[in-house]
Amino acid sequence: MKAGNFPGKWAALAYAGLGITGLAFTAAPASALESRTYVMWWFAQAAYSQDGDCGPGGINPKMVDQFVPNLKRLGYTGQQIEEIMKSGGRGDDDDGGPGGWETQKLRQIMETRARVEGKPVNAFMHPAAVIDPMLKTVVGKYAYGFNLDGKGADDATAFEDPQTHEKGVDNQLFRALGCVEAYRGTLENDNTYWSFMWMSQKDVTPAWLITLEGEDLSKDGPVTISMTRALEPPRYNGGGDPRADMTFREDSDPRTRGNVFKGQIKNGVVTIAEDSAHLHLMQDQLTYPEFDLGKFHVRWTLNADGSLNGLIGGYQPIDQTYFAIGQSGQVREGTGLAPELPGIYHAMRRMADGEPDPKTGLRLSISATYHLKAVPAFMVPAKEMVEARARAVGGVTPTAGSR
Amino acid sequence: MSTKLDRRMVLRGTLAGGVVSVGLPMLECFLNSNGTALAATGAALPVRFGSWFQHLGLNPGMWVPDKIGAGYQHNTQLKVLDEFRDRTNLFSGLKFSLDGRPHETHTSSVQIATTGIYGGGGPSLDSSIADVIGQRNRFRSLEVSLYGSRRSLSRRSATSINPAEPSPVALYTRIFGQEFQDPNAADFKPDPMVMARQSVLSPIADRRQDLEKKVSASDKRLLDEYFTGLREMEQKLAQSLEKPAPMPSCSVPGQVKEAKPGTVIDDVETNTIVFGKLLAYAMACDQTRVFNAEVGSQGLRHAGSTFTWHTATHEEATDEKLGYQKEVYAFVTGANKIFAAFLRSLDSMKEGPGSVLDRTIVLWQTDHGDARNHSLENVPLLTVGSAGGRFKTGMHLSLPGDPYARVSLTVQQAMGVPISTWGDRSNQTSKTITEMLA
Repeated sequence: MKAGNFPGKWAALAYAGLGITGLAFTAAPASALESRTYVMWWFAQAAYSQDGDCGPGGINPKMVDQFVPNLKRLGYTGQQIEEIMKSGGRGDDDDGGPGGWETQKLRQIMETRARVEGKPVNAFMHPAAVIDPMLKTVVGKYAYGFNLDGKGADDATAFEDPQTHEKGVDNQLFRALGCVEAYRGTLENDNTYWSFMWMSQKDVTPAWLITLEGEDLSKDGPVTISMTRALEPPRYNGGGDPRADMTFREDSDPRTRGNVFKGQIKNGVVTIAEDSAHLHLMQDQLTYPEFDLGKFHVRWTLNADGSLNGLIGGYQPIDQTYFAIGQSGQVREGTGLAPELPGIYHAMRRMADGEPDPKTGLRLSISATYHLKAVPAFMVPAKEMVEARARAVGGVTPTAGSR
Repeated sequence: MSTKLDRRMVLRGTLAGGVVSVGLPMLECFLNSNGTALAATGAALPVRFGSWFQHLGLNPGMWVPDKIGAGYQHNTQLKVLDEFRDRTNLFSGLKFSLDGRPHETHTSSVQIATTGIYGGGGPSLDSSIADVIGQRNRFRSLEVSLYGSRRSLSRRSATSINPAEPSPVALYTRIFGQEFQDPNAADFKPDPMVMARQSVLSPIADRRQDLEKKVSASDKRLLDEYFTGLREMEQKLAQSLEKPAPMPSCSVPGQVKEAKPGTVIDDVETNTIVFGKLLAYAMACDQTRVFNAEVGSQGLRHAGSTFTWHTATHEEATDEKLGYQKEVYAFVTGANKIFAAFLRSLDSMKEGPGSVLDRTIVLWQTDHGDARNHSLENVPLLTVGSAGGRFKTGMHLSLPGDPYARVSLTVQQAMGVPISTWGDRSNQTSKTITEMLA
């Protein structure tokens, strides 16, 4: 570790202070527990798209083929639609030159196709005020995930996990999005939306860190799972592969803390052993500014090469899930990354299965599963950085978590 | 009796009582034994630089050759360039670095590729090269637009863009209109209008220093930019008052048809061939030695379809059996075909023992390794042509993780730009790719 990793004038002293506790990054001698930290280098919605899983007629149309139905729903006549679409063929591109479909007129109509009190408003910010185009949703049998509601095989709306073949798997986010082309893929063949999202932010978004702590992590037994966020982004080699064994400083932001769960290891697979775990982490503006999973579950494999990969799942708030996609509005809809955004919102609403509102019965969250991959890393706990700084100035040690 | 042959020789005869003359093509005897200079004057034939920016990358897995080094074979997606393979260098493994700064997709990497700097703070590399090899030409560089926009990636500075010309007719007029001086013409008469303009500008030069002393630093910078442009105009006027050096391959093309502006891929290919030929003529007549072209911006599409290349990269799923996005593959291959057509246009203009293309190095750049996810690793890059033998060609150079700027640095150095490093932060390099230097 280089002193240059530490900010400001405390660099040298902090380095000295942390050097004393350096071994604690990987092991905690006092309790003789084994501790391993991993840095997440890949994150995507877990999809399991298969031929025919959207029923007759296949997947939803591309965005360019949704304009006409949208215009019809808005009440435009056939002649008007023809005029609008004709101009759409020779419109202006983003640079002001002749371009593709993105004419100002068509763009404006699509952007404001929501109606509030009869007036056009932004469709991406008010998706509920757009007529539901009734996007097709997945009717296939399989999806990755967890039996969140405990109903098991009796749950008619649930999937079977293609890995474990557990029945009663709840992953309604996959059902809602899985017939939109950009969201189709598998764990091995990542879907286009998430490939775009992750690769666009991976070099700048603060990394998620996972720490496992137990008596012997090579054997079956209880384990403590901690998830937190680093100050630095994941590191990658020149060719884009993840760089293992790098050191990350834990973020002391309280919004990233408190994610400590009881779990267990069995046959090299880590799972959560709590019924009401809740994950809350900050992520990235491009993906999820804040990320929540109620009834948090994990299924991670500890690989022979030291890496960790697997699934996380739970109930995710609908608004959080939709607005993460819908925040960029026309940019994502127009480029096909999230075609028919209001339709996606309605599909999520129709498929929502978690957190019923006690008054209205409206489901406020949706079951979801994400796929992550991680490699070994070192972590400087926020507490130790705070203490090291305090020692450096000879002052009082602030509580870890203060900024 | 021996007859001295030179480039200006014409065959004369009589027809219907009148004298007719027919010019000769460029014969090898007009050149020195290497074919690199005019035998009569010893003046070297010019070297040239062209920049071709093709957005949205190539399909991963479809372009990296199996073999490294000389004698490589093109992978599937570049087979359309096979006829130029011996004159091509293909680079794989190159990388753009963000150094923790936000990834502004399709922007950050374009800035790094063209200026070496995230944020695009400096001149584009074509401008730096033009400052060395293009100062004595009528046009320091020519920027053409293949799809109707005036957008250009060529810039003198962060704020001073060299706009592209979308009209072949306008470009024709600029190059071969009234101000064109045939370098091979027997007689030369300075244009009195040019002399008049120069006389108008001369007194202005005397007032510059006075003015610069009276303004703020920021205004002084603006004046500097302004006066730089003015000085260039003066230089050009002065040049146009001198008899141009003869250019054996120079001829004036026939009038061209107007382009069909738009982003339909077939139209872009047609425009490309027209612009390619115009540029070839312009370079053969030494009107410019630097050009820029750009293709594959966000609206490129097939006729009758509103589904664009850029949209396809983000909407289309990867075909699980094929391992790539099918529609994107078709767009990329179409764009590569357009590039091949452009190269063919340059190559069809013969010059000495080779062609205009042979005395040029065309730098093919792109913004992403995989447009689907905007990756900045394993970004492809090509050079075509040897710039009159300054570069070795026919190689696949694998440079995994190296800054993209290495090629740009090497090309600039070989073209005479006096730099030892290029780029900033992790994109900076001082490592010349010596393997490609002749």
